[in-house]
Amino acid sequence: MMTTQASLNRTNAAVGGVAVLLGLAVIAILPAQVAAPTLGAALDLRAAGFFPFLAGVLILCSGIACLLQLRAPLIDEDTDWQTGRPAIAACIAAAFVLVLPVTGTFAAMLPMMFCLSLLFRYPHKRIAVAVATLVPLGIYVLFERILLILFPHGALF
Amino acid sequence: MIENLIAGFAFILNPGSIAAALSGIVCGIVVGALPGLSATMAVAVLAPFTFFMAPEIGIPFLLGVFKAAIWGGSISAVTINTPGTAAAAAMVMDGHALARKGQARRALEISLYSSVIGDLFSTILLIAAATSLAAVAVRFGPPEFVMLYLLALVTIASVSGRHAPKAVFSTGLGFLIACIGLDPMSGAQRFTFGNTDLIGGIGLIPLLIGLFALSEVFTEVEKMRPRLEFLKVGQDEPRATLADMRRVAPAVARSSGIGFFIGILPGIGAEIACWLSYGFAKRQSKNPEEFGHGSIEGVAAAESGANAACPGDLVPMMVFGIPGDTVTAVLLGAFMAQGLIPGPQLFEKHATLVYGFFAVLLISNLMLLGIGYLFIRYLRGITMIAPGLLYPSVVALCFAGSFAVNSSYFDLGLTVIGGVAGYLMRKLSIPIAPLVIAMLVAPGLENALRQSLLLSDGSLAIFVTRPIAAGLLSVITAGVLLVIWKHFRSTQPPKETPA
Repeated sequence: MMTTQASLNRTNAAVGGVAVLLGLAVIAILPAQVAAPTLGAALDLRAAGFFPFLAGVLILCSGIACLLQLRAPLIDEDTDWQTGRPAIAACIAAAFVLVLPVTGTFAAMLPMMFCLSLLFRYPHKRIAVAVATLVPLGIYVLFERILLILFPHGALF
Repeated sequence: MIENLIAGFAFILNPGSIAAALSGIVCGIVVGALPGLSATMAVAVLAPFTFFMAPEIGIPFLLGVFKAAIWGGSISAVTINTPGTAAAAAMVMDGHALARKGQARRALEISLYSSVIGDLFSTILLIAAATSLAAVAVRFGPPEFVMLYLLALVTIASVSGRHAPKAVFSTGLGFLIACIGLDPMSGAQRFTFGNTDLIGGIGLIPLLIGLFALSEVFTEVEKMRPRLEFLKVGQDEPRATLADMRRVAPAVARSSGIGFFIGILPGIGAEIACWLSYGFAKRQSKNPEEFGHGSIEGVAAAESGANAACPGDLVPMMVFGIPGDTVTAVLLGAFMAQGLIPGPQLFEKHATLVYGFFAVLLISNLMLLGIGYLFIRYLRGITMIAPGLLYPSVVALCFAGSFAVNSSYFDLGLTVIGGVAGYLMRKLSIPIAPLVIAMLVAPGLENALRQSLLLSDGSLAIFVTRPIAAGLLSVITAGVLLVIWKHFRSTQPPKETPA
């Protein structure tokens, strides 16, 4: 676990930087996004743009406060980043959403669940396949047969 | 109040509601006992299933999940030294120490009885407080509600300590997300970028499922917990006795009060209440040296404090529509999906239903006691489910639940985005609770703010000329100054003391 001031500062700097940029972006695009001719018109206290403007200012101020915190003394904090496996898990989830219209929900769920089982280093592949088959089947029965909610069906199922 | 409560009991005492509450308790215990699955995650994943049920069936189910998950967390805390939920973190200290001495069953029984007593006490306070507060809140106008919402947000920031700027960032993000869609007053599109899927706004439940459930799976896949040592049950394990309960009674009574009070405060709940109760019990105990080494007072205090916070969390949610913590934020979403808009009007329009929910809270305590007592020996086996089977199933349920809310393909993408965002927020120490709470209170806050300004013809003086609003404003000002002062102090380098 890395608990250095430098890494903590990097975290605060990243959050602060993103917040400042986001806050400024919100304020900059506000007139276009709330159909107001000018920023001044969007900022009327009773207009549609006032509350989003408040949100933008709040984000901007929080970003500045984060950047000011860069000179704070050291505190213990987990700044260890091992994002490889979570990134793979996120890709598997995103791939499921993308292939779902082509293969169908339940056909896409089986490989998605099996891949996640492998990612969690589950050693018994047959059991993993069985669970990856039974859970989507259970969801199909519950949602499509009992609750009558139709999921997207594709070429396979 | 008593008549309403009797009517509530009569309304809710039907096989459907009782079966729903019972199922919720079973689901809650199972989810709570599984390390890595939180109460918020359980309610978020299971909430979409209830949208297709009547409120008197769906809400009791979720209330059962909520209550039981908090106690369920203590099962893994005692048996495998890993809290099932954040609220059971303090239980690890003494619960597992007792288990190591061969007293796992005694620890679990004391935790069960303490949680039931704490929850029961707190539920009675909830009924009394909510009824009285609702009667007062009916007289609140838009300016008072503006101040109340702001007070909730300031409270959240003030308990975030060094992370206050990140809590404010999270709040701003919540406001921004809530602004997406149509302006409620003028009907103008805001931040839709011409995308038709965004016109209706961001779906609350799909986003919450992503933020709380999917992100937790991403966190777990990163941690890859090693398989932990499971303490098996001996045939002759000692059990909790009446003498034990007499000994822990003062700690349970104090912790129940602390838990309820902490629960009422917006933004914090059982996970804070358990530590505060534990610390207070240690200071008040005649045997403080036992704490951390298997003190039954420690077990009772942590558990009763955590469970007493649950009904406390429901007070601001039901009376003002302000969630007490993340679980009640999800519950608030479930209430709204059922057409029940929490606030003082809820007590007038749906009095029987609301008191029915109170009745469920009381009855579900007895159910938890019964299930816990009968199955305490076997419940410990739940903690042994392999993560490689558990988490893929959770992800499948997440997607099924997200899609079911609006039958929207867009919501599935939103869940993935929410999952990645939630994971990054955890890694960057940006609290998620302010985002969710801000997102939920934003529509009410914006409406109240604009109504106030319409009433006063654009003058901000309306917030200082009305006594309640002015009183709340002074508390908010003090709170903001406190946050700034604490933040300023935390950024100062420590003074060197002369040798």
